[in-house]
Amino acid sequence: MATSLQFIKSQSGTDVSTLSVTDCFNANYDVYFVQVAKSQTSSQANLDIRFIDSGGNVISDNEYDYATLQQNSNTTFGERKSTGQSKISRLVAFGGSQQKIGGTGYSYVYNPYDSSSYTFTQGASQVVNGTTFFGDKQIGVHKSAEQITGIAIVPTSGSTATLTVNVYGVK
Amino acid sequence: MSEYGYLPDSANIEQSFGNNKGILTPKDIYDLTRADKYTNYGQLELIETQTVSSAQNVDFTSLGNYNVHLLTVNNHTFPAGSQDYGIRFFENGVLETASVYQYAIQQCGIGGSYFEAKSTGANHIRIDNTGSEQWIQNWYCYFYNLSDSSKYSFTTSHKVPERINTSGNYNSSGTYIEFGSGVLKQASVVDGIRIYNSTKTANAGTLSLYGIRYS
Repeated sequence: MATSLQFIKSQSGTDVSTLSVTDCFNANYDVYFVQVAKSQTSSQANLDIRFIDSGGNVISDNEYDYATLQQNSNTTFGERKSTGQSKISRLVAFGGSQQKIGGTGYSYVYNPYDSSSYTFTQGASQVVNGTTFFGDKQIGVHKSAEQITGIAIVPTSGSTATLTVNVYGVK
Repeated sequence: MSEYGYLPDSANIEQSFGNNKGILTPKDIYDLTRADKYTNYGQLELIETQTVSSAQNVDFTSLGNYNVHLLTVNNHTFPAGSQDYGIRFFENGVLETASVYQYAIQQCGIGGSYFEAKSTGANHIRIDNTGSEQWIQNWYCYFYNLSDSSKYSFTTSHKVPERINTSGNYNSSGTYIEFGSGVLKQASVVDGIRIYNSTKTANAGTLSLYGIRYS
């Protein structure tokens, strides 16, 4: 939980296949709060996480692990987990195409700027998919020790997203 | 000189949030911050703290202009007895008590047992419930989209309670850390939050509501 948030950057996109928030991680903070609010996707899709390296490149190598507890309001909870993936699944799960849904989510990002450390995430998201509510809790890691300077939000392949991402430093 | 900053009086400069001008001294920044005219995005801004000594429900009815809120609840203490505990919302000043809430909560038992709590038609977003015991509740919750008439209102929370049995002892096997989320599944303006108890009156607790500026 945040103790004091300091705004760093806001980035918006309309019908984008990737939303890159560049140069939002720096030496001033170890922990960051990344928030997605009022997202809307062109079809049912997840909003996944990739990181941006110090050269400004979106990292799509198979260097990401994640685990998610999918909490459904109508049926048994499910686990989703994988290693060696090209992105961290589900900063926002099941981002819906209905305007009124307004899927939301956050992720804390740990140690991104430290070139000697892996970059870790943990967060939660909430959406309504059709008539049913889903809440996801996620953890993830970019398992390569390198300096990360930004984050990219990537809708599931075939979909685009309209969203705003706000990045805060946790003091 | 203008009231704030090194600017000529003739410029007739009005300082405001998101539109500061001139070179500001530390005293200017202090004074402007107190006047809510200094641009400082993203911080947690305390809306209200309520200290409970005898209250069944706690209402926050001034939410300010934020898209994301954070509530912290410390030592919210209820006597023993059957009770439900959770969140309800006010829509345009009217408390929503119908079964229009959904939630999904993971319960992690200190004694080792894990359970799922979920509903697609509840009259509140669950935080906890008990049949007979006393509680001391500690938790936080983020709220999303409350003031947006075109969006559903979402919550995500994490709770670390303490459950006291009828003998007055800490009941580890009956205490559950819980994390999960909920929604008021109707697009509406939510202008109030109720921390709800179905039957019991709390005798202690400190609840603070914050807004995240520029969220």
